[in-house]
Amino acid sequence: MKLKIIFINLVIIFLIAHSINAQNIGTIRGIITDSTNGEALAYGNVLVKELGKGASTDTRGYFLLPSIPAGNTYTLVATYVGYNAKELKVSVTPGKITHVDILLSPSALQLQTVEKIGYRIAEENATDIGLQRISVKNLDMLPKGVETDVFRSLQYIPGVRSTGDVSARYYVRGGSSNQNLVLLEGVPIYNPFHALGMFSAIDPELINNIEFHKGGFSAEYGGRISSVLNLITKDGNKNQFSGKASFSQLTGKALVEGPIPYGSFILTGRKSYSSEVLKKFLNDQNAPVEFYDVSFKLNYSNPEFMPISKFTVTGFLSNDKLDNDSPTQEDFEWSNNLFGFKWFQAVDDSPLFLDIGVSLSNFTGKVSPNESQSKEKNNELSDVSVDMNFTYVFDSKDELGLGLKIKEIRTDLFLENNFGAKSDIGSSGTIFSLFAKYKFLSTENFGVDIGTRINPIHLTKSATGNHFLEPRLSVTYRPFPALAIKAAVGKYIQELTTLSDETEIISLFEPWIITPDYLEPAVSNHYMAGLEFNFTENISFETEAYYKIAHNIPTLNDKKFYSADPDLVAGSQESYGFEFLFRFYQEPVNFTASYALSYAYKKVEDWLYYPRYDSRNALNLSLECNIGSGWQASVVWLYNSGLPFTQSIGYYDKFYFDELYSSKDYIYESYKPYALLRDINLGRMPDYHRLDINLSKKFDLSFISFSLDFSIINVYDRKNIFYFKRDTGERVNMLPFLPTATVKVEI
Amino acid sequence: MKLKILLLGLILILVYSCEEDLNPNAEFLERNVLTCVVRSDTNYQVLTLTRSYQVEGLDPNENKIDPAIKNADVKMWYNNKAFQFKDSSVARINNERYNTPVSFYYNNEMKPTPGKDIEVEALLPNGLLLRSVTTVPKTNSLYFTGSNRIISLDNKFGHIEITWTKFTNLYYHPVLSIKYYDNNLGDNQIKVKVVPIKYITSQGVEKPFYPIPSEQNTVTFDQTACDRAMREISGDNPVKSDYSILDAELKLMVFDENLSAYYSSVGTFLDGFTIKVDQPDFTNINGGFGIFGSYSIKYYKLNFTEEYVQSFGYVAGITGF
Repeated sequence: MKLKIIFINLVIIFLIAHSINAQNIGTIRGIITDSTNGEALAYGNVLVKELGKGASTDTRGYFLLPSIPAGNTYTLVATYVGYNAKELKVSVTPGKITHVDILLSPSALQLQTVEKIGYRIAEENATDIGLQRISVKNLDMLPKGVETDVFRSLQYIPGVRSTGDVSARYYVRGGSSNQNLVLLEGVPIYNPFHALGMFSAIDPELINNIEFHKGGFSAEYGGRISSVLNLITKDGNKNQFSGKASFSQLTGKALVEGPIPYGSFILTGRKSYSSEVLKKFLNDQNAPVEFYDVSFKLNYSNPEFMPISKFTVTGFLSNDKLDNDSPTQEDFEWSNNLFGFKWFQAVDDSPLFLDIGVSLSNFTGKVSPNESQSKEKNNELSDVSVDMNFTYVFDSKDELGLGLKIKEIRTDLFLENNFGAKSDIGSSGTIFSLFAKYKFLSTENFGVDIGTRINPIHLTKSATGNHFLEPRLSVTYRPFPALAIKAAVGKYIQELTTLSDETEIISLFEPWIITPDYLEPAVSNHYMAGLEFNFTENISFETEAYYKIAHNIPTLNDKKFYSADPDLVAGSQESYGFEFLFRFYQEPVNFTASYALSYAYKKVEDWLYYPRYDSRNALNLSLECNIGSGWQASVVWLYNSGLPFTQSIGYYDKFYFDELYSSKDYIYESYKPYALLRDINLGRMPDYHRLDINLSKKFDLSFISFSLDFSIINVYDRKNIFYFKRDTGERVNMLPFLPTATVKVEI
Repeated sequence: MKLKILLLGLILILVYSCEEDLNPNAEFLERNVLTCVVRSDTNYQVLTLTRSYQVEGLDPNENKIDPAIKNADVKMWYNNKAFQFKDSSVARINNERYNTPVSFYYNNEMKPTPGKDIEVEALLPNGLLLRSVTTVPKTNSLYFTGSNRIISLDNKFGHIEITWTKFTNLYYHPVLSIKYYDNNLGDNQIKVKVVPIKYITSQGVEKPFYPIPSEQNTVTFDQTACDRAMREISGDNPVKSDYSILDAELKLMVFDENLSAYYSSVGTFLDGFTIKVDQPDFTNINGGFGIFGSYSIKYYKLNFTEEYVQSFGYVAGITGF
C-alpha cells in the first residue's frame, strides 16, 4: 500500500514539474497530408529552422514539437521524399498548443515518386531496432510473382524466411509462422492468405504504409511472440472521386475512393478469374481455387463536431473456395470477416492523444471431405476486442503511453488427424491486458522506450505468475550523427496457436485454437543489438544481432494415435543470428544488399532439430532504377542456403489393406515401398537462388493513367527443389521461369 | 574483351547452377519388418517377415531384390499354448518388382477367441528378435441396435442403416453382401454380391463407393445401391429365375487398437493439395517395424421381402423369409 502511495505521489510531482515548466514554452502540433488526396504522410519530417529541432510524423501523419520557446514566430519546414518541401511560419503561444495542417504536393519530377519512408531524419533517437517500414510504392517496384503481394515482399527483408515459392507464409528470426501478428488498422487477421496460402489476402491498393517489427517490439503490441506486421490503410481521396482497375493473370480488382462530408471513403475489391497460373506454383496440378476480398474504410473528421478528432470504420472480408468437380474429392472454404471502429482524439490544448477502438475479427476454415478419404475439418475463431490507448507527450519530448485491451475469443475446432484420432475442441476466454510505457526522448542523441504489458486476466487457465508481466526495453544511442547504437530486450506471451503440422510443406488447414489447459502459454524472450551507420545521405549500413528463446511452444503431437491423446505437446525454440543491410540511394538508382546468418532450433520431447525454415545464409541483392519518362526497372537476386529435410535410411515394403473386404489373400501382396526416416531434418536441400526482374511503365492518355507492369520470376530458370516424393523419387521444383504482367488503369 | 569474358563466365555459372542434384538418402541402416493380422474367423494365420532395402536412385520401386526373410523361428502364444509357424511361399500375382514367390509363415491350428491376448516372437536368422502383442477385440458385448432388418420395396427412408455398439479407439469395417445361388453354374455354392454404400458419378463415370474402415459405428447404404447390386447379380442374363436370393449379411470386422491406428497411419488421407514430406508411421513391433494386429468379425443378417426379390424377377430363396 505504501509503495502505491509513493508511486502516485511521484507521478503527481512529475506532472506538476512538467506543468510549471510549460509556462514559458509552447507546443506545435500538426498533421502532414498529401495535397492531392488528403492521405496522411507517415514518417515525414518537420523541422523548426531557427532551433534545428525536429520531429517525425507517426502513422497517422501527426507530429508534435514540444518545448518550443514561446512568444516567437518560427519557420517550420516539412519534408517528405517525393514531395515538394514546404516552409510556413508558426507563432508559438506560452503554455498552448499551436495546431498546423501541412499539405505537401507531390514533386513534379517522376524521378522522385519513389517514397523513401523509413528514414527518420528528424528523430535521431527513435527507438526502432527491428523495425522495417515499407511503402506500397516500394512494393510496386519489386518483381511480382503474379501480382504485388505484401507478404511475399517481406521475404526480401533480412531475417525473414519462407519455405518455398509456393507459400506466402513467412518465418521471422527462427519463429514459427503462427507467431506472427498481422494487424489491419490494429485488428488481427488470423488467416491472411489466398489460394492455399500462396498469396496475401491483403490488397496492397488499400495500404498506405507498413510497419514490420522483426522482434523486440514495444509494449503496445501483444499476443504474439515473434513479429508484428502492422498494415495502415489509406483514408481515401478527400478531394475528389477517383477509381482504379487492374488485371493480372490471376485477379481483377477495382478501387473507388472519394470525399464524403467531413471525411472520405475507400473501397477495394478483388476477385480471382483464372487459376491457370496457379499450376506453375503447384507442379502443374490444377487447383480450382476461387477467391475474393473486399475492403473498405470510412473516415469522418468534423472539427465542429469534435476538434482534432477522427472516426474510422474499417472492414475486410475475404473468402476462398476450392470446389472440386468430383464428389470423390474434398472441397475447402476459408473466410475472414473483420470490422473495426476507431476514434482518434487529440485533446485540445493538451499534448494528449487517445485512441479508442472496437473490433471484430472472425475466421472460418472448413474441409468437406465429400466421398473422398480426407477427414472432415472445421475451425471457427471469433475475436471481439475493445482497446483504449493514451499517449501523452511531455514538453521534454518524453512520451507516456498507457493502454488497455479487453479481448473475448472463442474457438471451435473439429478435426480428425492422420491416425484417425478425432479432436473436438471448443474453447473461449477473455484477455484483459494493460500496457504502460515511457519513452525518454529528451536527449537528442539518446532514446529509451521502457514499458511492460500487464496481464491480469488470461485466455488460458494454465497461465501462471510467469505470464503476468511482459517487460520490454528498447534503447538508441547516437554518439555521432552518423552512427546509432540500438538494443532491445523483451518478454512476449502468446495464448493462441494453430495446429500446424511441421511436416506439411503445403498445408490447407491450419486451425486456430486457444492454448489448451494442459499447456502453459508460450513465452519468448528477445535480445537484440544493432548499429546503424549513415556514411552519407545516400549510403547507409545497418546491422543487427539477435538471440531469441521460447518455451511452451505448442507443437502438434505426431504420436496422437487415439482421440484421447493430446493434440499438442510443449516444445521450445532457440534462434540467433546476424543481419546486415546496406543501402545506396542516388537518383535514379536505389541499391540494397542484405545478408543474414541465422541459426534456429526446436526441441520437442527431448528431440532437438532444425525447423523446416532454418536456412543458414541468406543474401538478397536489389537494384531499382527510375529510368525516366514513366519507366522503372528493378532486378532482385535472392540466395538462401538449403533448407533442412529428413533423409531416408532405406525403404521397407509396408502393408496396405485398402481392399480388405474383397481380397482374401490380401496379406501376400498388399505392400508398397515406404521410406524409413533418419532423425528429423538432418539433411539439407541444395541452395536456393533466383533472379527476378521487373519493368513498368506509367503513362497518361487524356484523363486516364495507365500502368503496365511486366515481371519475370526466376530468369535463369533455376531448378530450386521444393521437395521430392518419397514413394516415387520424383523431384518437384519450385517456380520455373515465369513471366507475369499486370495492367492498371486509374481515373 | 574483359567484359565479354566476365559475361561469359557469369552465363556459365548461371547455366551450371540451374540444377543441383539432391541425395535424399543417409547411410543405409537395415531394419526388420513383421506383418501379421490375426483373424478370429479362421485357424489359418499368416505372417510375413521382410528387411529394409536401399536403392541406387530415388525411386524405391527400382529395388528388385525380394526383401523377404526366410528361416526365421516364428512362434505365437495364445491361451497358454505355443503355436509354431512354418515357412512357405505362394506364386506371386504381380511380378513387376520381384520375380520370386511370396514368402510367408503360417500356422493352421490357431483360431483365437475374441478378448484374448496373443503374443508373437520372431527370432531372425541374424539373431534379432521381433516381438509384439495383440488383443483380439471382444464382440460379445457388441450389439446392432436401431438397425434396419428388412429390405423391402417400400423403403420410405430410401436407405438401409445399420448401427452397432461403439468401443473407444477401435475401427470398424462393415461389408454388406447379398447371398444367392446362381443355378446356371450348377455348383450349388452360395455366391455373394458386395453392396456399395452408393454410386457416385465422377468425371462422367459412375463408380461404386464401398465402406472403408473407420471409427464410425454406423453405416448407411442407399436403397438404390442395393437395388443396383441386385440387378447386377444377373447382369445381362434374361432368365432372372435362374437366381435364388437368400438374404443379405453385414460382416462387421472390428480391428484391435493397433490395427486401427496402423490403418489410419497408412491411409494418411491427405487431401489432394496438402503436401506432407515426412509420412506418419505406426508400429507396435518391438525391435522392428510393421504391424501385429487382429480383428474379430460379427455378422448381422438382413432379410429381403419376397415382393422385393420378385420385383427383379428372381426367386426368393428358402432362408430369406
